[in-house]
Amino acid sequence: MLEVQSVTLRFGGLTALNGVSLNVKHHEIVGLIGTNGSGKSTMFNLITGFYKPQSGKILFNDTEITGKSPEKICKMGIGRTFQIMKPFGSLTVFQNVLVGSYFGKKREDHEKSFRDHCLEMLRLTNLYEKRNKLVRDLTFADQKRLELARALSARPSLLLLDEVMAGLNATETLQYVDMIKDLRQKGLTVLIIEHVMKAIMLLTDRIYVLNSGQLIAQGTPEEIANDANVIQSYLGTDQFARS
Amino acid sequence: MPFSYRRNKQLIYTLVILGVIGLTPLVTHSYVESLLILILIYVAMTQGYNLMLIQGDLSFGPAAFMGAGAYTVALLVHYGVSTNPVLNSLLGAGVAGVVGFVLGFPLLKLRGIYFAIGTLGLAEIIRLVILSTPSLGGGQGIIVTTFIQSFNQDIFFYAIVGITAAFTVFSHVIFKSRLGLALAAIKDNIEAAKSLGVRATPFRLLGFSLSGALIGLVGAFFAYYNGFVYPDNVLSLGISFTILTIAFFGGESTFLGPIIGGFAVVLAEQIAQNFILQGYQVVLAVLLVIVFLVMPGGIVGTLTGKAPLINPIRGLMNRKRAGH
Repeated sequence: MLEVQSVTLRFGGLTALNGVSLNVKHHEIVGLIGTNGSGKSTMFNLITGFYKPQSGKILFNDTEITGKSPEKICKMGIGRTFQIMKPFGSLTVFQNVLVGSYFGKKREDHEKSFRDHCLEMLRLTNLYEKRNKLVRDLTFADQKRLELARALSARPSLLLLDEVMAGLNATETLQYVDMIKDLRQKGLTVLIIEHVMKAIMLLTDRIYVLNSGQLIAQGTPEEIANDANVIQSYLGTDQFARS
Repeated sequence: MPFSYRRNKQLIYTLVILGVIGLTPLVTHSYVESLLILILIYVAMTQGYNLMLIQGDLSFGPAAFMGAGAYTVALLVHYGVSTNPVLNSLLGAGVAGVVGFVLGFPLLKLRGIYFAIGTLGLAEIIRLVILSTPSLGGGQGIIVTTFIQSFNQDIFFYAIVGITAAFTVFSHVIFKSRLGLALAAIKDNIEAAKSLGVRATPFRLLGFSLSGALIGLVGAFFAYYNGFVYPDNVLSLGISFTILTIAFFGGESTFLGPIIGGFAVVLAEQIAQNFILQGYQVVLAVLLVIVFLVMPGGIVGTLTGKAPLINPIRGLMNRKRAGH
């Protein structure tokens, strides 16, 4: 479904991503992990058209999307959330979701109306009761849910989730994990960046690990948990854990 | 969706106030009427200017559009192309819209203060070009003499009341439309808006051009009303800053804001002119500083609880109402 082929992105003298390749198949949940500054969010920005790579290609459903605008990529069916939440603060929860519903991927004739679609997304993310509130009146956890509801409102077939569970407590995290599992049941494909390892291990089919802009490992959650390279650069050594 | 009083309160209040203003020729004399015309000219331009503000583009040069509208009418009349005031005014609005579209292409690549400075620069360039081009009247300006000037002042009064009411309704329709939602999303966070499929640049260009066309129509009206246009009465920085002060004093991106701000600012300006002949615009500067320090949402934004009231020394005063 998504194929990133050997992309390189430099900001002046800094190489943010160096020849990184990854792929995501239909109905998979794939994790992207790495230390801060390893290039995870940069990869999302490349896939969604906010950055253009100096070399390499990105294909979505066998169509090249390298360098296309974020709006076009959204309309093709890739939705995303942002690591630093970017809500529309002057709008209500419902209006936030309505933006994606109106302007996202084209609605098919047999699909629900814009408003019904929004209400469904708000029910799915437990925000229905708060639909008329202004975003600034929401709790942190609700704002995180809104990020997801809004990304879903654009009818994506591939969803990129950027640290959607950061700052949530254990119960909220598990609720979020269940929500993402539900989405897969509904036919969505997910690429997820997350530092909450428990969630990554529970959710993903495969994981890619980035370090300083390089891909250092890929495999199933079990393989990654036992990979010496990953342990050293990201998960931490036993010795460090004990100290 | 049925028409709801609660959702459309501001629109209703604005139209009621305009209705009451519309009755004044029955009870008052021509000085008050001419003062009201001046106020409503600014109110109408600020309603148009609000369209730029809802998409988050702060322009320092709205007078460029007033000038485009006014000069279109003046040139059409002066060169005898057309004497039809309605057609000429619409052409004035159209030319101002086109000016917005053409200038918008380079300007809308900028955001924030860079955009503001860009608009200021371009508006000044337009003023200086006209000032130094004799075929456009140069510094002498152009006299707009038509049969309309022989009419009673009342006709201009009712026309500007009608234009202001029409702009208020038009802005309301835009605010509530998909375009309005997209523009509000762009203002709040342009990246998030793009990631949801909003084509930010074309929408901003449309908002900017529409705003220009509305201000241009008022410029066209002014050309007929005043009978004389020259760079300083339709293109000056002072006009741009008066519009800006009205918008922020009344409450940016609100319907009621321009009318409250229009009365307060134009009256303050008129009174100050009696005391400080040349530097009366210092009053606007003081008003703007007070608004930004004490009530960043303007009068309407503060009264509706959408923006906080701030004590510049102690901080927020209506913390709860503002939702902080």
